[in-house]
Formats: sequence, structure tokens, C-alpha cells
Amino acid sequence: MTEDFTGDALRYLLGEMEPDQRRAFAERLNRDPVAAQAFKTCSDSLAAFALDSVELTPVSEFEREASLAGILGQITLKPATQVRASWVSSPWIWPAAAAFLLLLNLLQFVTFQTSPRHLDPSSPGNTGGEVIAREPNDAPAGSANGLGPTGTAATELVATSSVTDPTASDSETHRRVNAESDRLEQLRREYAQLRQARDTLDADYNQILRQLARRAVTEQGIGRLAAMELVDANSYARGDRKGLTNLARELLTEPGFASAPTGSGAPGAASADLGFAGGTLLPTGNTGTPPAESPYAWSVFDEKEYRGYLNLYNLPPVAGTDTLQVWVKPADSQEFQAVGQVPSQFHGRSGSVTYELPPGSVTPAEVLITLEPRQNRPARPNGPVILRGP
Amino acid sequence: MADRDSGALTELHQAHVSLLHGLVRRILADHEEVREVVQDTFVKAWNQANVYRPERGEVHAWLVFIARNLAIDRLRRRSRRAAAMAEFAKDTDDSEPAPQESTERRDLFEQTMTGLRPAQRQALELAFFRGCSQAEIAAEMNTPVGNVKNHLRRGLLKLRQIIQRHD
Repeated sequence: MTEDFTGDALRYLLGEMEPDQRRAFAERLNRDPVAAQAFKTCSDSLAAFALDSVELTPVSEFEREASLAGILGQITLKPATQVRASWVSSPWIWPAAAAFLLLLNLLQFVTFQTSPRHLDPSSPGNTGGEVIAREPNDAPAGSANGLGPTGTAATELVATSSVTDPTASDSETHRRVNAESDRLEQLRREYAQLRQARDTLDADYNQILRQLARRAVTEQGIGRLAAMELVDANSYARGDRKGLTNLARELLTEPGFASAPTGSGAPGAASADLGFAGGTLLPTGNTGTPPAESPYAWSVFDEKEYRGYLNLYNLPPVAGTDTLQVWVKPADSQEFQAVGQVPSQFHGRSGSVTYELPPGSVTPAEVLITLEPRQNRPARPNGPVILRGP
Repeated sequence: MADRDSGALTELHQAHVSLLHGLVRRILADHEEVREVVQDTFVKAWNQANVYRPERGEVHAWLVFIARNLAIDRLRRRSRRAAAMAEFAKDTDDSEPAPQESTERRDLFEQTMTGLRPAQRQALELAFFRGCSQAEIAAEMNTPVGNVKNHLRRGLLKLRQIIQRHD
């Protein structure tokens, strides 16, 4: 293959061809197996080059499931395989069964009507009342017993006595009809059970699919959250951590993913303090008494909405002239920037606040809470560190 | 999959989702976008399964180009070319095979990389991962368009030779 062909193949693969060129190239591949083979080599080698050039990133099982659920939610699936007896569910089975029964009744009726002994009760031999059933092979039809062929392939009735008892014949017919009815009823029951089983399986399948799709949608809606733990200065110096997973056990739904609180108690409610999008008391830990334990906090940052959530525990009491200033240092910056103050009602207590960064901001790599004067707050962290993370 | 068998789709997804994640991540930085493009790739593969021709490429190559073209479309739509160029310059310095890659794959990677001249590799990467036209590649590499064409053609030829030797 020439360099020109290779260049064309590259442009075709990368979608750089004009539509008419693309069509012409595709036609050439269709009619020229050698060109198609050369194109395949180009395609496979460029794909291999691309895959070799990227860093493989492991995808968690959760992400795989969510991804697959999202895909399955978008495509049109053919109906799931249903376990059923096809002959039972065939539309012609019940009419055929009914026709068979009618035919059987008709033949029995005709046999009964055409019986000479029945037609002529005074004929010789009609002296008794014994009726037996005999299989066709027992004796040839129209044998010397005086009866003609019945014309039925099933059991034929043979009168061995001088008079055929119509009551006995009806009884036999009814017995057969009842047997057929029972059999049909049994089939109906089995069919109903199969349908019920199928419906149950369908319901289970749909339920699982809905759960997976909901999970995928939820995850996509939340976006990616970067989480960190904040501890007091002493713990920070010692390297003591409570462990984010334990701290956020109620919030974290999957490793690395957190569901943002919702409802009236969620971060985001109105706050009087500047810089915060909102702040609310946590439902627990708000005793109003000075905390005995060291302060700590955990923080998550929604990279999609550029919003950070801070859950603060055991904050120290703060004098009225001071405030707890929150700072963040984005990953692409060397400087802390102020994002707001902890609302005064959380001083000496626990609380939850949220802050927002301008769109396009980089995820904070560090979060810091310092004690600063309420008036004339510094541009950079200056006071004692209350909490620091990660 | 052309028979609309979702089981086949599941198997295909299981086998290729990691590769495609890595590939699309190289093109699009945003995690959400990467995930969306990978999903769209499988949906498109499902919808176009009846036109896939094995004689024109392996399944993984087919998926690679679907994913790449979807990602490049996004890149172009959102006019992130300038930012992507800056990232590219950074990426090319530290793009190394992942430690979990198999020896066979790593060997092939090394053969590929040693077989390609740096300019060929750069031109191919700009075309593949950034969707740059030949003129844009020329501007980025500060070289005439004719040279870019040569880099691309000869780079792909070299790749073919390496792959054929490997096969």
C-alpha cells in the first residue's frame, strides 16, 4: 500500500474526510479486499498505538455497574427470554381442543344414531343390555357381530348383547368429555402458573434495572466530591486522624462518593455570615455547652457545582469580638483564600456550613479555620489555627 | 450484538470499559464527561452493531475510534482547544505505561515508541488525542504542513510494520 493510501486511511479513521471523499473511500474498501486488509492493519495499529499511549485507569465495580445501567437504560432491549411452554401459549390450542371435543361428541352421537339395534329395538338379539368397549385391533371393523364400521380411529363401541343401552353410551361419552375437560383444566392451571412465574421474573428484572438506573442517575447528578478531614492544630501536628470513612459513615454511600444532604436541615440554608452560601445547625451535638472534646470536621467539595460542605464538631467558644474564619487553598494555588466565617451560633457547638467558589475553581487541596478578629479581618491566615485539613 | 443481545453488550462493556475510560480520559479531563462519552460509545456501538465489519478492524479498534471521535466532538464543541494544548504538553512528558500492564503489552508499547520518531509520535498524538487538523499540528510543531503529512503517514506506516511484526 502506498503512503497516499495510508494517509487516506488515517483521515478516514480520524473523521477528517469530506463526506464525498469518505463515501468514495468506503466504496473502495468494499470492492477492493486488499485495500480493506490494509485498512484493517491501519485501524488496528493506530488503535493499539492510542491504547498504548494512555494510562490505564481502573474502573471500580460500582462505576462499571452504573455505566452499564446507564447504557442499558438508553438502548432498546429485545424482550427477555420467557420460560413458557410454547404449545400451551399458542393461540390455536384452545380452539383446537374445543373442536376436538365437539368432533368426538359428534362421532359418538353418529355412532349411537346409526346403531341398527338402536334404530330397531325389536331386531333379533336385542335382549340384553351389555356394552363393552373394544379397541379397533380386537376385531376388524364390520365383523360378524353385525355392526358396521364406526368410522372412528378411536375406540369403537361393540354391542355384544341384543340391545345397546343409550344411557351407558352417554355415560362413556361423558366420562371421556370429563377426562378431556380435566386435562384442559390442568393445562390451564399450568399455563397460569407459568405466566405468573414469568410475570414475577419480569417484575424482578425491571426492579433491578430501575435500581441500577436510579443509582447511575443519582451518581451522575451528584458529580464527583473531594472529601477531607479537618482536625485541631495539635492533632494535625501529631498526625492524628479520626478517619474520614468513620466520620462520614452516614454521608458516604460509596468509597469516594458522598450524597449531598437535602431538606431544610441541609447546608445551603440562609446564613447571616458573609461569604457562606449558608449554614445550619446539625441535628446532634448542639447542647449549647462548651464542648469537652477536641474540635474536628470533615469536608467534601462538589467539583461539579464548586460547592464545599463543612461539618464542624465541638467548635470552641469564641469571644464576641472574634470569629472563626474559613480559608481554602485550591490545588493550583499557594495562597489561602477566605471563603467566609463560621456563623456565630455555631461557636462552642457543632454545625454544618457550605461555601461556594467561583465557577472554574480548582478543588481545594487544604482547608483551614483560624480564630481572627471580627473587625479588620486579615487577608491571609494570621490567628491561631482551630482546624486544619487534610 | 447485531442480534440485539444485551448479554453481548454486557460482555463487551466488561472487557473494554477500562481501556476506553483511559483513552477518553486522555482526551477529556472532566470525569463526568469521560463517563458520559464511554457510555455514549457503547450505546453507539449497540446502535451501529449491524454495520460493524470485522474485515476492517478488530472490535476494540472499532470501539476506540467511536470513543475517540465522540470525545473529539465534545472537545471541539466546547472550544477547549487552547487548554487542551497546554495539558497535552504536560501529558507527553509523563505518559508512561501503567504498572499493571502486561509484559506483552509493555513490550509492544516500547517497540512502538522506539520505532516512532518523536515528531511522528507527536503528530499522531496531536491528531488522535486532540483532533488537530494538519494545519493545527503544523502550527503546534512549528513545521510546514507537508512535514506534518509525512510524519503522520510514515508514523502510521511504522505502526503497521510494528503491529504486523508483533502479530
